[in-house]
Amino acid sequence: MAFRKENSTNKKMQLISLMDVVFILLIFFLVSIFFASLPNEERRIFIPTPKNEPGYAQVLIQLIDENSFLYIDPFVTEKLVKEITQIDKKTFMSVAQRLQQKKELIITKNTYPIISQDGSGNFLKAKLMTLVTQADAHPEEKYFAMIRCPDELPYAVVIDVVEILSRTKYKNIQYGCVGGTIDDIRNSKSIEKKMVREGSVLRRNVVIQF
Amino acid sequence: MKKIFLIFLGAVALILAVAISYYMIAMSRLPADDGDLGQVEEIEVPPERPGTQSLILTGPIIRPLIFAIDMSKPNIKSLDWAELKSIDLTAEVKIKANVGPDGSLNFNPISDVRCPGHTKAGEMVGRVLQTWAFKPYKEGPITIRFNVGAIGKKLTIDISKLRRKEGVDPDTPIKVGRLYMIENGLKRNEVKIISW
Repeated sequence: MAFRKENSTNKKMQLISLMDVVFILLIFFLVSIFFASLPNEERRIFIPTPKNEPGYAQVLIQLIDENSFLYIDPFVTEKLVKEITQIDKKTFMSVAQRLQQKKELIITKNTYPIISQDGSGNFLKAKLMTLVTQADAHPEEKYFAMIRCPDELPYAVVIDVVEILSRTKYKNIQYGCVGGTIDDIRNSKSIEKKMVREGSVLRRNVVIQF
Repeated sequence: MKKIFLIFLGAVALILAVAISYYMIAMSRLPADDGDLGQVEEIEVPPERPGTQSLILTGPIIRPLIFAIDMSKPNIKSLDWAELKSIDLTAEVKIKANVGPDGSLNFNPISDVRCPGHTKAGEMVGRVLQTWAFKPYKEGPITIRFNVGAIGKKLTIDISKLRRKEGVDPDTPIKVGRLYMIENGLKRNEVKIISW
């Protein structure tokens, strides 16, 4: 059988496809170098940020200043709902008067000094530890705590709060931090109780509209 | 000609690579804030975070109340359906009663029990039903009708006229539970509850 002998002079390197590959690699490296060179903060900025949804909180920790805080947990909310119902029944009062009463109810009854006046105890820590103990006793429950902190307050206070909340054994306390002062509540437009159905579960919430 | 073109392309690629490496080295020496300002300006301002416009304090879960026979009350007797059948196979008994504020089933065994022609069955039903009591969430008139000989529904309980008891939280839903204590023969699908 006769084999055809290849003509060695016809051997040529196929540069076109090689160029294609080289350019694609070049583009890939250019793009990846660009992203790698971005500082971390800028890389994160491409992550979608949460929409401006209302802030749900089972536990509200509003830091007022370096000496005081507002603390509301589900038991307080339950009481608040009852008291708000009573205030709403006072139809002889104007809407503004009723709103003022609700604000006082929320703020005055639930504001505590961070350190007790005689300096013997830390109320904030005690409240948070109670919450942690409760969360540890009910691992099946999930808690969400919202920490509101004014911009001028040292962030170390928030870190202290977060540190205590993260001591839970079952990690069933989630938390979120947001800027905001007690004046948001003090100047709120409305405070209403609202029944909400979440799947098969009914909840009675308090909605504070800033 | 082709060779020149390839050399040209190679040269362009080399220039590009050198330019970009120079640019990257130059940029890496700048403080982070000065690099790529144009890019940062193009990014939209992120929307405000939740909790800046309103706050929703979520309260505890509301458990619905179940309006049913109060099993915790002593002396509640159950009606023996087989016994009722043995007394009167075609018994028709209608009882117009009232659920009191404490949940007790109140009726006059003479005037409120209607059982024309079936007196014995009426007496027996009346005797048992006087021991029944409900959870104290609703109050008002209730009608209980027995029709032992019926093919379909043999027991009809009309609670449509019951009203939420004063003092019970108006926001808490009240569901209907088991409203009768009958054993020995009455099937679940033979009972009709009128609640509207």
